[in-house]
Amino acid sequence: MQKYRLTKYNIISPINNTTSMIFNTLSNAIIELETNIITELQNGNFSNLDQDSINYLMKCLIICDFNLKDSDLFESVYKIECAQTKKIGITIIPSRICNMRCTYCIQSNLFNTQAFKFLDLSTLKKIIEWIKINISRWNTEHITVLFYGGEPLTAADEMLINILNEFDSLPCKILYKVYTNGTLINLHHDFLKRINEIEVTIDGLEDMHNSKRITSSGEGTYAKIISDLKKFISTNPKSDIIIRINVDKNNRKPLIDIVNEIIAELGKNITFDFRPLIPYSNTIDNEILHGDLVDTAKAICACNRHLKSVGISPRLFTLECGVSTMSQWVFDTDGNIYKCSEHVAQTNQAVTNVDIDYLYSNFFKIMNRKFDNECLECKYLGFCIGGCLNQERLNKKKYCLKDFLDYYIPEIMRILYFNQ
Amino acid sequence: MVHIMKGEIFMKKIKVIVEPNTTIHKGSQKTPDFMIR
Repeated sequence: MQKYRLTKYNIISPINNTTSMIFNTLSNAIIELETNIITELQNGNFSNLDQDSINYLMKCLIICDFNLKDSDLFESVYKIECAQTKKIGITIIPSRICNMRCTYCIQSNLFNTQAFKFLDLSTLKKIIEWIKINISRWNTEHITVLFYGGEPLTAADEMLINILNEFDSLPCKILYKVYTNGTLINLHHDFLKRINEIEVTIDGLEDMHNSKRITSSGEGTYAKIISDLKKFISTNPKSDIIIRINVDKNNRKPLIDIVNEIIAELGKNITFDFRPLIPYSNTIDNEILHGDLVDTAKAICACNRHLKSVGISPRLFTLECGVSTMSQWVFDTDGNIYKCSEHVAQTNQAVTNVDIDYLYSNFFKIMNRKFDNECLECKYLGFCIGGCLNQERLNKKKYCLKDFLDYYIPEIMRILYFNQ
Repeated sequence: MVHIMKGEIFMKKIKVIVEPNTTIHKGSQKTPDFMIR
């Protein structure tokens, strides 16, 4: 009687004529083994593996007991992941204001608000107190603090430094990140030099970028971003700068030219984060944004391969969303607390507030996330965790990147780990 | 339980590329890895 079987959450792809890789999306384990052994495992024959190898594949969640249901495996691993609080992520909104009006912005609701434009000191103190109480309860050791907005750098430098000082006083290791549009860097060198990761979006060559990422008065921002970044990097060479490029059918063809131009301006001491542009409205779809989404995946992989050839380490595009975990919390300027940064300023989406000590019903609905059978049967579920709930709400339907991942995952793994 | 390390080839069959429950590749080497599971 068969004792083991391969789990559903394995991505299996050939490496060469004799070996293949298995990437398990639940455990993140990646192994290489002979293709003929994988075929035997797929046929239920485990007799050519010794017990230590079997034990290791069990640990990697690549195989499981024959009678275990995949949905039981995923949901158990997911619940364990959701409950962990050793490492948490805090998103702070220092400002709801943005000085830009990008054509694809999904946060324009923030800019219409007249109240609570900026985080004030008394709300910050309450936020820190809320975090202090909970990290003690949760035995938290690491916090990643993300500055988000609006545009976080529209806040006063003094306030941004106050936030850093408050977090520095917590008894945890802190990692700071900021997502910025890059147009206000010159105003905030003192703040930014204390940030571990600075992510700036550049969406193409100058004309392409300027057609999408414009100021509130309609001007392009490419030259300003490049010039400010150049100046910042020259005085802070150890800073970790990540250039995010949202890729669609308009900028994927010249993607290598785009990164070459950015490298020529900023040097090689930067990282690129390519993301397929995804629809956040039921009036937009993949057909409009990408034509064929696989072509976007191909362009992103080709560009990563190019980056590796010029000595820049590629970065894996991940889809993990912590909205239903105990480790992700977002603090708005008004003291409302959310589970997702895209909910900010929509008070009907809040899960609690710094002034109260109970959780709204939103919290319990978000935490009790259900996965349909299509997702539970999908090998990518450990990687995408069912996709973005906010996007699902806005699109009024589930959005699936399976076509993209079918090409992207094996190819990016070959580039990252197999020198291909 | 035998602890199998990255890069080790186990019983001449399994080559471990990334150990389970460790950080997958995020490009930059400058930032600590506790931000991603």
